[in-house]
Amino acid sequence: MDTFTALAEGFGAALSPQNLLFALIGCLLGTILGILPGIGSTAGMAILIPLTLAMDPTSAIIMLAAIFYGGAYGGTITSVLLNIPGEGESAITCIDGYQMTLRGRAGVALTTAGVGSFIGGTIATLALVVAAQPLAELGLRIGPPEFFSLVMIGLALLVGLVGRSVLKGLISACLGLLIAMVGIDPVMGLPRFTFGLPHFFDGISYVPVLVGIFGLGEMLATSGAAPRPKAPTLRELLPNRTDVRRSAPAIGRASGIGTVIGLIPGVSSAISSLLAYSTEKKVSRHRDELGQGAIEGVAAPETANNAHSNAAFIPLFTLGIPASPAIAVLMGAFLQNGLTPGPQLFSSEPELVWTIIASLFVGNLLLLLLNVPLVGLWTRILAIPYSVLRAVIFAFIVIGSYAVSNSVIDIYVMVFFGLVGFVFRQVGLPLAPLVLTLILGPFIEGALRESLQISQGSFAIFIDRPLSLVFLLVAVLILAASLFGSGLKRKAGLPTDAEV
Amino acid sequence: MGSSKTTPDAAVTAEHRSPRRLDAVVAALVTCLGVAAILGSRTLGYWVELGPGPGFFPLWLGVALTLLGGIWLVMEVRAWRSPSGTDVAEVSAEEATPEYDLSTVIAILGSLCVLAACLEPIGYQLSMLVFLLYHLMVLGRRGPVLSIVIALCGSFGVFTIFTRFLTVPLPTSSIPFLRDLGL
Amino acid sequence: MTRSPRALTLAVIGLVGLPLAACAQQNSTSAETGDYPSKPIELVVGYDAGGPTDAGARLVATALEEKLNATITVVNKPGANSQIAYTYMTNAEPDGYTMAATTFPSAIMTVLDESRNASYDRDSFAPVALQVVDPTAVAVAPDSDIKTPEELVNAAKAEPGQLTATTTGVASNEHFALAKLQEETGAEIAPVHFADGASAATTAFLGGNTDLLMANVSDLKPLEESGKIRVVGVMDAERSSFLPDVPTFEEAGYDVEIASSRGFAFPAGTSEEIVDKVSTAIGEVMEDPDFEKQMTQLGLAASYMNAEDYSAYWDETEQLFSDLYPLVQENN
Repeated sequence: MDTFTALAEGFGAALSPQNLLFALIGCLLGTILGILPGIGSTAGMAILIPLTLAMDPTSAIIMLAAIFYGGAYGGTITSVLLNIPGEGESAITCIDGYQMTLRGRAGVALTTAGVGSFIGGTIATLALVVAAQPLAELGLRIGPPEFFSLVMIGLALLVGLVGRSVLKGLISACLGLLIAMVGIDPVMGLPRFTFGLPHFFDGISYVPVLVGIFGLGEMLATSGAAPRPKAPTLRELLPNRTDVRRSAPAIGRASGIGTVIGLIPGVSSAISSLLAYSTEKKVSRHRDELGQGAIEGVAAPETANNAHSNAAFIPLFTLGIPASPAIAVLMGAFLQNGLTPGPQLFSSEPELVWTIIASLFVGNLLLLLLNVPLVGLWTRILAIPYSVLRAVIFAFIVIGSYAVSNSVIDIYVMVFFGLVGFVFRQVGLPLAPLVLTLILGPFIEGALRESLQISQGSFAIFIDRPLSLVFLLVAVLILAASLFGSGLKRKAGLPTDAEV
Repeated sequence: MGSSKTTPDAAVTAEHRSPRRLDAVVAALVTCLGVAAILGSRTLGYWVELGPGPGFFPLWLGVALTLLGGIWLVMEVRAWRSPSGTDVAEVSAEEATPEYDLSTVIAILGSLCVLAACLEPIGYQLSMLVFLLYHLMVLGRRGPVLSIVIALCGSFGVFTIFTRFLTVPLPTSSIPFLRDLGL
Repeated sequence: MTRSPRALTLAVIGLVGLPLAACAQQNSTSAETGDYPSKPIELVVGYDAGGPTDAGARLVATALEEKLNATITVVNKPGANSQIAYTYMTNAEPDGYTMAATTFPSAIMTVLDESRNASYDRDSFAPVALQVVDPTAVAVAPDSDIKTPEELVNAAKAEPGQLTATTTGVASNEHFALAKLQEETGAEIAPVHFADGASAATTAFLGGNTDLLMANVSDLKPLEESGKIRVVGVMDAERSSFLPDVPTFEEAGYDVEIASSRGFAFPAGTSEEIVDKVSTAIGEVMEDPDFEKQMTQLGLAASYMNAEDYSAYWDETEQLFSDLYPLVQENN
């Protein structure tokens, strides 16, 4: 049986009224859980697994996968409308998404995010159908040294993110890295900058930091004159022709980035969205508008993180490796239903596998069909009087921070970083570099250490391995292009790249 | 880092509303943080058998922050003395200093800290009820009926939903009397 | 935002027909051992919801609710290798209403590592029952020349420190296993620590970055079945029921027994009657064939011990790990 016949049969099963209904319920539940504070898609799935035990395995897994997508989209809604990132992956969306909201373009942002997610997810799932095996092999070739070099590309892209003042951009980046240093170090296992609190042994959790810096920081900064983000009218919900023309290339690039990074087990989708955003900042035609409510700044990260989430199914189906915490929970659901994910699943349960793969397409489509009409409803949130909305948002971010690990310490962390975010805004320190280094930081040291243990201390491992060498060269090229390019522009009296 | 930074920051903000002075203070704080990172990294081990040790990155980050913060501080102080030197820290449109109201900022930060401190002794429901009432009636100047309804939903309603249905346990009171009342 | 999440959540709950959780409210009378349990029991888990420890604990909690006729709330306090959860549990009233899922080596390692300043030690726990023992095993690529524990030891001795093996972090059970193997046989294998956990380690191994993959038997079983790895030996006294064809290190004459295990404990000072009651209840639950089937599906190797045996096992394991601890430190 060739792939496409199998897939067609899978569609037949996935489109049965029962499975369709479960996928729909899953999308809706996931979206709502994603909006609720402190419950991301992973926790949402974990909470709802017991419900699925009584269901038939195919429906159960279809529903959980739909919850997973829905949860990610729910996080986008709060990022765009309220400037509150539900998870690390939607943090970077806050920057341009919330600016769009302030300009009355919330509907366009959410619709574009929905369409981008759909396209990214569909492309990644197509990759799963067409080339799962070779792609999984590619993912495996990205070992610790390659990953270290890949992270170096991310750091090189930072040059594009630093904003007008290189000095302030670098300070912001260094602060992000310093925060990332908190915790038990991966080298000797020593607690580092933890103030003696076991709570910080695993590092400071992203969510309270990001919620503080974006959500609370912004509310403090605008506490004198409350912003009046107006709820868009029905006509303003849909992207116009310029929006479509501008977001299309961003969505294309981000689909590629998310799909490739998603293949690497253990890499969070936050990295995909950050790399996609930084790439736009570097290559987009409208790069100078990013940060001020450019559509690319929403389209790119949202497309990338959904492409990433879908590509993360590839290592699950081909190698049996759960590539992300959310996929690990999904794998738990497979196991509880008596199925062991891995390549043998294709031979032992082909119908189930193809039905699930088909349902990934269906799930992505449903998410789009469900959420685009609901964008109007979500944006009504903005019609709530600001003084009421603000009080509710405070309750929201307190619960959200607490629920990360059921700890009051995270609330203090959130409040502290709210103050930091407020000060950053007052003195003109950019936020994007901090977010980038905060999320990449833990990987730099971990991957470096693992590589050196593999090579027994030889740094040559980074240039001996071809893929790692390629990544390093790309990083150097990006840096050189920025420096050289800015030199040329300065000669010509144009604003330099680094200042843009 | 840590909470030690909170107090001087807030105090300084209170005294000097001028962004330029705040810039200088933040630059000084960044420099101090850099120095603290350098000091903190000394006991961690700079290099181990196989490569950089736990103190390697913190040390270099500390050095970078000290230098960058120092340069910024010098620039700010110079610009402060000679008003003509505005090219250094000109605030761009994208990072335009928005309007804030200092007393509201302090009220928000203070109320959040009080809420966090009360959650475990008094429990989520009562703390959040009072917190929401304060924000709606005092800061938001909303009417009592609306405020009470929202505050009840946000405290008792949310608690019920989160603990019963979503298995996210929000804190209950640690005072026996209140605990026995189900708070 | 005011009303919508609440209203929507309610609607959703109605939609799915989530069964109403039993809402036992707190009793104002203090708990007598006789009518225990008279209020909800809190079960603290030191890992995120959805992980294997959490899955096992939730399985037991659901079954125990019925057996004890009580409400058991699972509270995840993830982080710091469970140290946060242990600190919380050992500081709780020893009244039988706060219990923690205890795992080895975390419950032992967090105490041994002085830099962590743990506020508890072995004596702060009143062990209740052991649920799962998952031995550590060593695997190689299917085309490797190493086929038995002896060949592994010989290969490692031929080129000391050249073979690399994955671990899930400094002072993880894989790291202890390497130290024990070296102490026992003199075979020196270089650890590569993947602090992000077993799936990062597996990926790196499958990508050919290390020579050996070390992990729990339950994690290796599916990989062995799909032919991606070959398990060389299990570090246990007896062969694993999951991998009955794989020899143990014991069989080859090496006294290397390392496992990760999961159980339950109350704070020290909890009355013996309560400990026994819960311990017996867990034992009865685990005898149920349906329950055992559920555990096997999740890849959890059921291995019940009552309070007394679990205490003894705890002491024994702590002794083993504290002897090995200096080696784990030196290996860095």
